[in-house]
Amino acid sequence: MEDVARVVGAGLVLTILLGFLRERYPALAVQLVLAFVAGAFLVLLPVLGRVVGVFTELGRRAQVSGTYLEIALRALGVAYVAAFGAQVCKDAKEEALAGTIELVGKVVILLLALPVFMGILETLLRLLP
Amino acid sequence: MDITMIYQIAGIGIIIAILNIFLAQAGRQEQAQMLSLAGVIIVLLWLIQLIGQLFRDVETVFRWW
Repeated sequence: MEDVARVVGAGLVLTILLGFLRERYPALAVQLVLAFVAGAFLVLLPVLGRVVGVFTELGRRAQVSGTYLEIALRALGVAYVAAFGAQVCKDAKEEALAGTIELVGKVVILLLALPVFMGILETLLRLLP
Repeated sequence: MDITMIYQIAGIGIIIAILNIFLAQAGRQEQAQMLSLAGVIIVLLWLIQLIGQLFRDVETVFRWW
């Protein structure tokens, strides 16, 4: 619970400071935003780790194949990192970079999902006479 | 711990911005530019560590090994 307070407080303080820094010193404003996003993600990660642990346990109990769960987790991680990069680039008004980062994230997730597609296809072929 | 680093970066930014204004007022444009460059590089060094830690944590949480 205190994590929320820390992140929100830092966000509010930085909002005020950035109003000053953006006109005087734009390079450091971007770096400050980058530091804040990275810090907030770092605060979030242990919490997310616990959630992932619970989901792994649920999947184990429901006897979902471990490889599929692992694929989902990796895709989640890729989405997380890509969102981090894209948000910072967008903040620095670099829309092209943000779009490219998002595209790379999407393609990598598609690549990770290919085994699942193949699994569905094989199941269908087995069901069809 | 991570949040403290953000406040440190904000503090450095404000100090350098104010020193920059002073130097610019005193007519030392070149030194002001070097000062901002130094500030950017120092903060970049911290940021690299922070981002590296972020990627390592993502790797462990989402089991990328």
